[in-house]
Amino acid sequence: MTELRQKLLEIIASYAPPDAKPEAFAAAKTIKDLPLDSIALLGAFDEIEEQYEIKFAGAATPDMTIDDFEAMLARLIAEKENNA
Amino acid sequence: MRRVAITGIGLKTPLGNTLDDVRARYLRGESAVRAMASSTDARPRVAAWIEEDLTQGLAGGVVKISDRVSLMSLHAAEGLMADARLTPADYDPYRIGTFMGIGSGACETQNTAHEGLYKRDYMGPMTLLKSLPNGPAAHISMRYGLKGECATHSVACSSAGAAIGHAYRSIRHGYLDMAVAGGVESPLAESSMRAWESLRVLAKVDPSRPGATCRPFSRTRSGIALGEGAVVYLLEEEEHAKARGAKIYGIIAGCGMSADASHITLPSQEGQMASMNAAFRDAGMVPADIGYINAHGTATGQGDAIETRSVRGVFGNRAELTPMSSTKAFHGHLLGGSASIELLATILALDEGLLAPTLNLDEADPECDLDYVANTARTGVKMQAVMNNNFAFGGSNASLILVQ
Repeated sequence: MTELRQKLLEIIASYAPPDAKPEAFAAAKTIKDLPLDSIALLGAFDEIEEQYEIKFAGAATPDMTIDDFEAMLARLIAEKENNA
Repeated sequence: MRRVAITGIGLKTPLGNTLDDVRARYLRGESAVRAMASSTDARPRVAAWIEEDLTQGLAGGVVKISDRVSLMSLHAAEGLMADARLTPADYDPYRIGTFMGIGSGACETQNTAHEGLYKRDYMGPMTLLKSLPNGPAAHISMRYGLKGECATHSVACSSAGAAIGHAYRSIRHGYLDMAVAGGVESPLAESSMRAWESLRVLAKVDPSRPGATCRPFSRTRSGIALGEGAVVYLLEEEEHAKARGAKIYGIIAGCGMSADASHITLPSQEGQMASMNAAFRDAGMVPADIGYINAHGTATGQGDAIETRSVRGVFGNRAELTPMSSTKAFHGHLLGGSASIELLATILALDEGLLAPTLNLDEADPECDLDYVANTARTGVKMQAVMNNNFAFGGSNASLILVQ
């Protein structure tokens, strides 16, 4: 697992409801597999945007794979750093 | 008429997290009010606050949508369930309600939202959920699956009294068998502190003695010291409580409420007396039955003097024979949570004969001429009934009477 993916999953998992299984986050293949409701996902995505100073919210769809999600964020973070 | 017992106590407060902690503070005369850093200037500040990390022991998904007041309430409720030895098998979820009082709402979230909005045009998506005034009650009901009425009262400093009164009436009249009821407040965020300072009702601080800032009923009183915390009780129909072998701390015998209908801040003797008299009528009791009064006693110049006159008006010749203390110098003013934390003192008086003192009462005021249990706790005082009073900005008053 990449360092970025680990950090993303940590942020996402910090929104876990009391009954969520911790292993379900790493096992998720797509965003809709994550054991979070839409409100929790909204909060997690906002926190990722804040932490990395990027914007992606509308681009992350339920059927997007976690691999593609990570790749999209890696690209946005690289663009931000190149523009800095 | 059904009788309503108090069968559990849960708290998260600057005085500690158990009734034992609170009792020890009262006996030692040890205030939790202390110096607090000010972000603005050299003006000294005091308050009573909770040091612990309130996120501990709670799921991330709960923490992320909860203001500090909801986190405190959840911790208090956890203590309550343990103290009451209550498990889901002990209740019909549709016959147990949740009633919380809160005056100021989610101050920490609002402060963060103000900073984000005006400094960098940002508003977090959880802001609205964290700001819900009914957040504390909702989180308790969700955590424990309490499916009876879930209500929040916001009548400034009488909020918790009104919430406990509502719960008591709901059980007494058969709408519920049990209720989690109490109050919470956390007004110590910067924007809230500034609002209180701007109103000029906070006490002048002596930096060398921060714990002596709040001086109820003293000639030298100069205003309020703020505090935070959450306290909840399990209210239960008496026969239900006996059937499950619950410990009974006391019986709520009466509740009175009234409105001054006169001024947004200045208390009314007529309104306060109406509240106490309504509680006596509800309980079928008279002032001579009361062995201790927990006063609102905020340490404001007019408030304490008017409250003294109100008690004289209701109690007549009994006023000077009835000990009455304010515990706000111990825990600060919890505003909407006041009745919840102050009910602890009435329970200790009723259950154990311990009278919590009014701290920092070194100089008598001719306008405050009752027995305020000055500075030192009394023990071994026998009594059959106690009264708790809270009188709020906006003129809402709430009085509760407890009996053994």
